[in-house]
Amino acid sequence: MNQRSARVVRRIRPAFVVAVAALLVLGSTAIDAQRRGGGARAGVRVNQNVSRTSVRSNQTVNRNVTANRDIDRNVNRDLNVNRDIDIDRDIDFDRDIDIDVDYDRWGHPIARGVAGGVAAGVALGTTVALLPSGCSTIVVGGVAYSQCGSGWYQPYYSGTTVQYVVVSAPR
Amino acid sequence: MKLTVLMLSLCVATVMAQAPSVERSYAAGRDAPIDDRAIVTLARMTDFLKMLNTFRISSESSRDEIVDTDMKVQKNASNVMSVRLPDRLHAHVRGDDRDLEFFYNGRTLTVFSREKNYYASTPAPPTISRTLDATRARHGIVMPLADFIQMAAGEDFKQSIVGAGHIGTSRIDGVECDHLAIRQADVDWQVWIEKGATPLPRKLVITTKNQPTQPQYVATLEWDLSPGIDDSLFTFVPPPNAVRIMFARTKNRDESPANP
Repeated sequence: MNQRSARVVRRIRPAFVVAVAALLVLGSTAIDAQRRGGGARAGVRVNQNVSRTSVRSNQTVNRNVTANRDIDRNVNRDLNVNRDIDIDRDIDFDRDIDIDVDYDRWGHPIARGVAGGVAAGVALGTTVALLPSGCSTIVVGGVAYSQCGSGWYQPYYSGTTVQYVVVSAPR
Repeated sequence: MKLTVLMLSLCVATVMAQAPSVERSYAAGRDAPIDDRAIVTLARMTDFLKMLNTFRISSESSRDEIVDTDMKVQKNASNVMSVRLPDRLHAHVRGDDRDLEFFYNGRTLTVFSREKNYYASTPAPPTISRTLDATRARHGIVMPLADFIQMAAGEDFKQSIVGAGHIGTSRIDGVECDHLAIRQADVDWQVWIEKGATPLPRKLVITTKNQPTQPQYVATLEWDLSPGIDDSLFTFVPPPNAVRIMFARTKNRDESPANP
């Protein structure tokens, strides 16, 4: 998606984005996108371009990491956001700012969670940059959650940016 | 008249015949895509960095971000990197929208956001060099001035260079420096290297070429080669009310699709 259309999409209400995405892509991909995201985030991608801060290429880094067998450690310790939403697709190695959130014209993140969470129609796996007001931090089974009314979010580091993924209520 | 022309021709011929033998290496270097003098100066710096063991870099950096489709805005940060090779690192990054600390003690890497009071810890490889790479590949985190730390750890940067020039002498913070301009496939970069006995990088500029707006990153550096660093700096002790969260994992892949 080029920048111009990304900006247009950004102004459209999320409910329409899936429809637009479905129109734009071939059938199987659209079905996949709907199944995967199930809501606001599917098919949306907004690049917030930034300069690189390292002259070393990703290829060099990946080669070293692979040679040293350092890439596959901690798979079970890291948050597998990918299971719920294809966040992997949108995280760029070279950025310490995550781009899987929408930004306004002047670069501020605008995806904010809602107090009702899943009950209010927000899909599981949706990532937001900001929480609604009145949330509290609750640790259940060693995992930190933000409870916002009946909605539950799990904060995580995407790069160096804290984001919140919609989860079902922990038991 | 004829004689004058003849003499001039002879002079020119003589100069042309002699010039290459006298000036060959210099002229070839100045005109070549990779100037020997730039490579020699760069090697002086990397050789010097490799001798370092414990050091602290204080830097001011600015980084272009693109807003409103094609407008560049600068985001600034103050960074302090405390390094003890091969396996201790502490970084404090205070930027426009973040206040972050990184702790690495040879076993664990922790990122802590003081303002949000969240931290994430992960087992890390046994050296700084490998940890910087693993952190970048696994979590998409690029530490400030990671390239210079990698140089100090012995990483060779020459393979990627397709062009290098010695631009001239420049002053950074009043210190006389060699100014180098270096070309790679995806980025151009410039480095200002202190002249004299301590050839340290004093300034770095990276231009990202594979984005249409060619955003830049600029950092000026102050070096402390004998910092007093207590070992406790490298191990994170969570404040009483800090909350542990997880890192998201990036997929291992060779391409960089978000930088078309």
